[in-house]
Amino acid sequence: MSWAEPVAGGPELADLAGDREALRVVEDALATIPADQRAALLLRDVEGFAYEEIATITSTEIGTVKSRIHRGRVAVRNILISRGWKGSSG
Amino acid sequence: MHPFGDLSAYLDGALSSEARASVQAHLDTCALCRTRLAELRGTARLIAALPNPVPSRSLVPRVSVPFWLAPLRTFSTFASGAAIFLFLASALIGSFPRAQSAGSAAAPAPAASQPAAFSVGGASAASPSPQDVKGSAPSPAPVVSSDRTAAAPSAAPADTAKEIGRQGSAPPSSNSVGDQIARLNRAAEPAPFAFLLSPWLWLVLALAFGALSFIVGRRLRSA
Repeated sequence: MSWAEPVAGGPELADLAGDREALRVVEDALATIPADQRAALLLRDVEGFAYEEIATITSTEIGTVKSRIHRGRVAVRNILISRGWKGSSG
Repeated sequence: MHPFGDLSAYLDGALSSEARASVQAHLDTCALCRTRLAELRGTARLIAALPNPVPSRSLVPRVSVPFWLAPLRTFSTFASGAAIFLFLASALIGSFPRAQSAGSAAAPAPAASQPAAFSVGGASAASPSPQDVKGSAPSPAPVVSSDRTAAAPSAAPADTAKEIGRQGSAPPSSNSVGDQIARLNRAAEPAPFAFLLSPWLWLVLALAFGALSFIVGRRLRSA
């Protein structure tokens, strides 16, 4: 799994949660990642389930949940970076 | 060296205390991992901020419908299909008995009328050409004498007409026998259940059930 590098001189997308452009990019990005990663990501970040609970819901192991969440997040992050997202300040 | 794979779990607090301490120690010394962690945190925040999708229509009925409405629509749909099948079957069956009774009524009649037709045809066949039928002198017996010189031309047409008329009376008597057989055939059908074989009955039922299914379906969808 590779980490994309930020685009130099690209349009800056705000990392604030209220920015509609960034949210639209995230929504499109979620549609492109595999369904199991998308499900794990939404269960974690939208619904707030713990890893153990997600493992029960999706009938998988915790290690699988951890891997899917991480891969999904990196994939969305890469797409955001490619659109000029400069990354969060934390 | 970099614990990239653990960064998300670290972010979500899903690491064991040992693993978490290890990653924490690494983060204190690695700027790259700190950047990656911040990016992952920003991504998770954006995902969390997505607006919840709204269904195109209400998933819960606004007005409660009677519990028997949906089963009624299912039954009505199947009843309409069965009625269409019975309509086709009754139309098919209905075309058979009429042919049989017509055939049985026609069988004796042609057989009886054949000798009469044969004799009438024989009268014309005995003459050398079709134009001479009127001129020839038919005899009452089946055996015809074609002696044209013996009969007067003026009396021949009248004789021919009378002969055909007499021979023509034979077939009706045979036909009456056939009619009686046909009437017996029809009378043999049990009258009370005859209407079940009517294709119109099933066609009307098919249309009625189909309309009922459509109307109930619209009521269910608008609920």
